[in-house]
Amino acid sequence: MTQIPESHRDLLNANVATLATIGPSGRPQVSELWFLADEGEIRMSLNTTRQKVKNLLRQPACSLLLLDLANPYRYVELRGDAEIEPDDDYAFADRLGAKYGADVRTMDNPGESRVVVTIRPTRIRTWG
Amino acid sequence: MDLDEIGRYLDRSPATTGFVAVSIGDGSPLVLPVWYRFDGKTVNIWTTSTRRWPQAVVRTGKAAFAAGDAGKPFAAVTLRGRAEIDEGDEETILSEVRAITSRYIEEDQVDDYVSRWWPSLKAIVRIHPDVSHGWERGY
Repeated sequence: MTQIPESHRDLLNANVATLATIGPSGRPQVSELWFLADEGEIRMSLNTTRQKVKNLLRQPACSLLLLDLANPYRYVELRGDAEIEPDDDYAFADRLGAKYGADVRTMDNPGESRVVVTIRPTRIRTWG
Repeated sequence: MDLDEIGRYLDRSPATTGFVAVSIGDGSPLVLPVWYRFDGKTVNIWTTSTRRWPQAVVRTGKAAFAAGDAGKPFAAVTLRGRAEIDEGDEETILSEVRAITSRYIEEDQVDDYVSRWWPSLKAIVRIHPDVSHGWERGY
């Protein structure tokens, strides 16, 4: 279970998270994405063709940030490893899509598949 | 988005917080929110060389950057490339500091804000994108 301090637990209701990964040759990559606070964990649904997935399969270390849009000095950063599991039946993707009122299946091309990425933090830091 | 559209998105008003990512000593990533300005060529961030993430820039010469909408249509930009820290001409740096700050606070408050942090923060990290992607409609 991801233990975000109570002072910043409201950030689990944020609309987007920012995820940083490490690519080939040690190059960082960062992007904003949808996420779901799911059964006490922070999870994302990613298409397996995405660079983020390729990066995490090679190097699971990642950093995820949830920002308070009303106060840019207030955020929580979770650093750790990503655990990746297949989501061939879109079971998790559907739950994530429900948060955003979207059908994630429509975002994928025929033949593509999805994975569930769960953040396993080794360090959680809060600011503000 | 093409490069022009990416540039316009990064330059949009009202300005929103961006995110910079670097690789730290153990090879893992570090991400944090930043104020920034895209000057047409580089993403510029006001900072100091004593902080951990700029030190990573000095060590690796690389950084990544992202900015996006927190709501529909979830437009976003992500880019990465060579990064450098500029601690050179103070006048040039201060000019960029004011330009960055002006994107986020009222003009009549810029001097006061800058004076609170200058010269403790007197460096600009510039990210030269060599890979960039943008989406007008995310997901």
